[in-house]
Amino acid sequence: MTKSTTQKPSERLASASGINRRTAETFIKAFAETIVECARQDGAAKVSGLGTFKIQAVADRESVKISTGERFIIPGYNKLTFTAAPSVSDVLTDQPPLLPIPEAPAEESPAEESPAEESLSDESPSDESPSDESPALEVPVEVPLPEALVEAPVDSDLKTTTEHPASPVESSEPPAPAAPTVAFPVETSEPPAPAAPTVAAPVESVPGNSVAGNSLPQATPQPKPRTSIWAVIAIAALAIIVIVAVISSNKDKSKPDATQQPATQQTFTLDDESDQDANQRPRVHILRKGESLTTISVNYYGTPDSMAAIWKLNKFPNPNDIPLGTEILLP
Amino acid sequence: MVTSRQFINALAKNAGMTTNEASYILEHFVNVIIDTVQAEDSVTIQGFGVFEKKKKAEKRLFNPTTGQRRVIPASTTLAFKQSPKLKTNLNPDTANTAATKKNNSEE
Repeated sequence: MTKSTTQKPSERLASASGINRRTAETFIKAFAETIVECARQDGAAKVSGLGTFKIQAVADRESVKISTGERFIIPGYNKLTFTAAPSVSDVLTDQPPLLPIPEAPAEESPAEESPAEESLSDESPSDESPSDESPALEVPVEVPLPEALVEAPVDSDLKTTTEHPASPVESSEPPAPAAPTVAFPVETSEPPAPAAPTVAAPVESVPGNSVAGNSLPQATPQPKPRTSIWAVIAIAALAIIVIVAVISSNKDKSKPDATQQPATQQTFTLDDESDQDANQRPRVHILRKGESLTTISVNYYGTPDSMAAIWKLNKFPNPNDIPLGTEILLP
Repeated sequence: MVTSRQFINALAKNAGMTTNEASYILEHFVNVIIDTVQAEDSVTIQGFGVFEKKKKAEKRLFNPTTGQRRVIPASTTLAFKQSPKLKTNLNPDTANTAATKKNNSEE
C-alpha cells in the first residue's frame, strides 16, 4: 500500500485550486488545527463532502503484565474519530478499474469494413427493389408450377401461359425463364396462395373442370384450408393444456399457505424454507453437554442468526451460561 | 456540533483568508483527498493523521421480531487514523504522566 505524505497533498491542492504551494501547506495545517479546535469546542466538526470528526473518550481498561502477571490499569484517553460522508463511500465503492482506454478503431479505410456491412449494403438494394414494387405482381422464379397446372390447357385470357406449358420440362424447372412469363401473382413462400383470391370465383363456378383454364387454380386452394384448420386446432389445444397446468399449480401452491396460517403467536417467521419445516420442528429442546443456543439455531434453522430469536423467547439472563438439562423453547 | 459554515469561518480565521477563499480551497482539498486515496490508498497529513481506504464486507442483518433478513452489500469507505502527535495534543495529562514515568525509569 503506497503512502502519500503532506507534500503531495499540498502539491496536488496547489495545482487543483491554482494557489501556490506555501499557501496550500498553510491551509492544510490550518485545516488540522481547526478540526481539533472545533471538535474540542463542541465535540464534533462536520466537513461537507468529507465527513464528521468527533472526539471520543476511551475509558480506562485493565491489563496484565505478561512477564510478572501484575495487573495494571491503562488510562483512558481522547481520540479523534472520523465518519465518512455517504457520498465519499459511494465514490470509493464505484471506483472504476484503472484500465487504459482502448483507442478507437481507425475510420480511414472504408475498404476494411466488415464483410457483414458489405453484405448488408449489397443486400439493401435488392431488398429495397421488391419493396418498392407491389409484392403481389412480381413473380419469383423459384416456385415450380405443378405438373397438373402446366399440362392443362389455358383459356384465351391466359394465352401467354399456354405457350409455356407446351414444354413441361421447362415449366417444371425452378429457374428464371419460366417465371417471368407467368402472369399469376405468385409469391415465393406460398405459391398457391395468391392464385386463390384472384381466381376464387371461377374455381367455385367450375369446380370439377380439370381441363379448362379455371382448373389451374382449382386444385391449389383445397389443401390450404385443411392445414390451416388443423394448425388452429392444435394451437388451441396446447393453449388449453398450458392454462390448465398453470391453474393446477397455483392451486397446489395456495393449499400449504392456508394450512400454515393458524400458527401460534410465539412463532417467528425466519425463512420461507424454514416455514415449511415448522410443523416438523419440535417445540422444546433439552440442552445437552456441548450445545449452545448457536448450535441449536444451526441444527433447527440452518443458520446461527436465529440464536437471537431463541434467546428472546426464553429470556435467558446470560445466553452463555445456561445449565444443562434446561428446556429451551423453540420459536 | 460545529456545522460546515462555522467550520469554514474558523478555518478562514486560522488560515488568514476570507470565507469565500477558504470555502473554495476546502472544496478542492476534499477532492484531492478522495482522489489521492483512490489512486494511492492513503494520504498522510503530518501532525494530523492518515486517511485510508477501508473495505467493508457484506453484512447480513436479521430482525428476530419481524423475521426479515436484509443484506448490505460490500462497500469501500474512507477511514481516518490519528497521528501520535495529535493524540498527545488531545491528551496532555497522559502525555505528562508518560513523560514523568520515562524520566523516573531513566533515573
